[in-house]
Amino acid sequence: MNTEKSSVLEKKDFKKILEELKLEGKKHLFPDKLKISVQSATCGKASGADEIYSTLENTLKDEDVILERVGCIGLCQQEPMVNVYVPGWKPVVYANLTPKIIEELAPQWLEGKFPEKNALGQLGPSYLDDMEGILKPVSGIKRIEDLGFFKKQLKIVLRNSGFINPLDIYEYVARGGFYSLYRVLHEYEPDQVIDDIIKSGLRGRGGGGFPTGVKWQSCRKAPGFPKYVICNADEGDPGAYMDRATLEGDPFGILEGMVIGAYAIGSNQGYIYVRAEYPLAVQTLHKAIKIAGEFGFLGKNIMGKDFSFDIKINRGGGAFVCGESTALMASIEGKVGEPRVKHIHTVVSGLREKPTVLNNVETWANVPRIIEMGVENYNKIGTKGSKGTKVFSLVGNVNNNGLVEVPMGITLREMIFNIGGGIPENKKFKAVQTGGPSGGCIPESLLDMPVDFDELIKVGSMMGSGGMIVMDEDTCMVDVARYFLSFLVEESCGKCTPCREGTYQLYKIVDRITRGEGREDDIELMEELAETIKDASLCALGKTAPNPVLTTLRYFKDEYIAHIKEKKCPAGVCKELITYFIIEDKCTACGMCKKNCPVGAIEGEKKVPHKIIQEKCTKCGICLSVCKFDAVVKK
Amino acid sequence: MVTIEIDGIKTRVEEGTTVLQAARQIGIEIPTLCYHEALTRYASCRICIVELSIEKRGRMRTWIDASCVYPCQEGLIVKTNSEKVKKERKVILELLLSRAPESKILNELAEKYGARKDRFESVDKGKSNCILCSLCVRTCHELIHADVIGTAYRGIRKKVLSPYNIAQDVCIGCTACAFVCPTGAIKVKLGKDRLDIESWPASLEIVKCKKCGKPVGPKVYIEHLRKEVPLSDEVFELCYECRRKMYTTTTWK
Repeated sequence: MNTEKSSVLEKKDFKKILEELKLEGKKHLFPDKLKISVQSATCGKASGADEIYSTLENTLKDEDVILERVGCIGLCQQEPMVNVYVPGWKPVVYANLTPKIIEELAPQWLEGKFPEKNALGQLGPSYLDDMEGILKPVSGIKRIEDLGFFKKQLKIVLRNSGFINPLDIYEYVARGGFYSLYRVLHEYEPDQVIDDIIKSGLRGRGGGGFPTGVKWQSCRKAPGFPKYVICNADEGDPGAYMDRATLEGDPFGILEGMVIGAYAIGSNQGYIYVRAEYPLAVQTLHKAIKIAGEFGFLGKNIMGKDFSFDIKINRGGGAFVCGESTALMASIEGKVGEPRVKHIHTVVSGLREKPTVLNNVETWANVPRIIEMGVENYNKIGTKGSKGTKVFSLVGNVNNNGLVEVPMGITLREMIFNIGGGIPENKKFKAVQTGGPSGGCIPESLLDMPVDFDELIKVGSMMGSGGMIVMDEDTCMVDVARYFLSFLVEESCGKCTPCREGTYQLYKIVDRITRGEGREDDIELMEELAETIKDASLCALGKTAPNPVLTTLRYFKDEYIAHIKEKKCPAGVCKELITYFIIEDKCTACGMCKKNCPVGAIEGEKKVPHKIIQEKCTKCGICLSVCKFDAVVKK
Repeated sequence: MVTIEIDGIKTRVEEGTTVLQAARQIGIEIPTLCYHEALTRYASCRICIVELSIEKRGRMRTWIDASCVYPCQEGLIVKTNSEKVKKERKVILELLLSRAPESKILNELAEKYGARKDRFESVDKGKSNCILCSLCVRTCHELIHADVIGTAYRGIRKKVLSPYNIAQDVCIGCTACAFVCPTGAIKVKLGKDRLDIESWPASLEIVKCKKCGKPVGPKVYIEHLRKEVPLSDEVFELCYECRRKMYTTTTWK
């Protein structure tokens, strides 16, 4: 690779360099021999991608094939997955793999065959670009784009993820990468870039939804030097991993966005603040920064122009609050990660009290794509107030768990029932939680609302960074509020009183309600406390911390009342409020429950219906799950 | 200069003056706990919250914010004691009281705002007495330049401690931390030979008066002063009373 690179770089004409990289990248993407890409993002690895990789290595060790690792294509539920490229044919994605299946399939791939077993689909135009018409379609296997999970998606940020080798800069350029940077550096004045981003309507994807271009403009205008550019990759919401997948699957897209942003505001130094719990993302970023520098897309005199920009990586130390901009900047400075008041905006006085632009991973990744497709085309996507797409991690009680990128304005119903494939085991949908721990739970009656920044706020939730947790009828909403509050109590930095003490007290109240010790006036007390925390907290963490309680109170108040007044948990989740017992008529005295009870709480002889000794029962539910005669019930 | 309105009174102040300063200039009192004129503003206790309104693009926006940090701007309308402010200040007081139930200043404010002590139970049941206002930490850092203490842990477990909770030799035993503490959470014990701060490990050797044997002060503190203040050695070796005696006899006779 080194010899290739230096011969390319000897020419100073970057337009030509890009063309040559693109040509080479096409060869990397569609080589003239068998190529197998193992989807090895963190989600893939967790499902066994490494084992798949080593099995492939063993099986194909004497063959002339290319084996490589790529990011995640989104359908995490069905990982491990591989993409199989046979020369001349459209690539096919195989899912739900095991080493045994690999041993069976790999020899067939070598022969140029595409068995239907475990085939998910073949890649279509959204990945193949101009190769769409050249490569032959594989009969008997659906197009990826026609599958329910992918059909309503529109991939802008994730378009390369799971397809290109994340550290192969040739492949990134082959997909149009760095052309936007070239155009910006050669054809745009910084103000024109800002103008385009303002017109595009791009809003911050970290959750706040502040217009990105306006932020850049304020920073460009602010006096003071140096100016800094920061990428916030401290993704910490439970159940959310959009940024991780982007960092692992397409790091150059983020770097390109940051260089464009730096040029627009006049900065020479950037930082990526990424949580240390994402080791693969950190490693990928380090390598990507090095490679981009070697090719002249980062560092001194980028693309031969009189503009230099470097990026450093800062690893977060495990505090959720460091995803808040001012706490994040304090952390980079080496101080305690505590937020400060923001009456002076960070675009005027941010990192080291210098003008600073901070944007989230997804926001940066959108930037080069906006330049590429043009403001007008980008504007066509989304709703009036929220343009473009949003990446969500769709998780919980939904058939297709995974990462989805959808145009703004899609309805929650489409997301959960079309893309997500509905609720498993034909259970009923109960609520969907958006916006991370400080977001809110949205009930069935609002499923037809369009998803965008403003609509979600109207119903008491928020966009957040894009976590979307689906809950079925077996979920207790009071318990859900308790869980999210416990997370926030742990993660409050403890600086201001309402968040530190108030969230803890709110947690204590909800906790006692789930234990059946709720008091008549608890709901009123919670409302009073929640209002104070919301109004009087210092940073956004505290200001939104009562949301889990406020939205569940708004839409599921009857569940709170059932817990408090009747001492009952309607969903049968809160242990202190449920009882297990055996219906005598149904019990065949088979002894299964007695045998499996871990605490010896079941008594009964042969041929005598069994009984649960309530004093001993820990309500683990094992008896219910092992009874074959539906004799054990929960109430 | 900008014109703002506080509790119905129009006043002109320098732009950037905080709402708290502006209110105090016209004699309107807003309670504070973590605020101190000599220190950087921290805005953590939130007891000084006020209701702010301003017209922006034809729409009136109203919200609650901390007056100790909020900068005055043209057309700002401030209500320091609206129903909402009173209600939320009461809740904040109750939260703080769960931490420091015995604090004099908190109990006085509680009476004024009708705050109760029976609604919330604190995580340490009021044992620490500390409301984490950070006045001690800021004083030690900004005024004494000793940096002995900081906050450790986070959230409800946050504490003021010396690094690693071990005694630090940079402590000069000035006890300014205890002096600024609004709730009396920092206890200083002056023993026969040593001065101890009980909230974190700090135990300092005491210098005794050359003449009468009474304590003069912590040894490191006296040495620190000796370097800073050009006075005769004797001054640093005598207790307060003997020093007075020495001056009256030597200077005025």
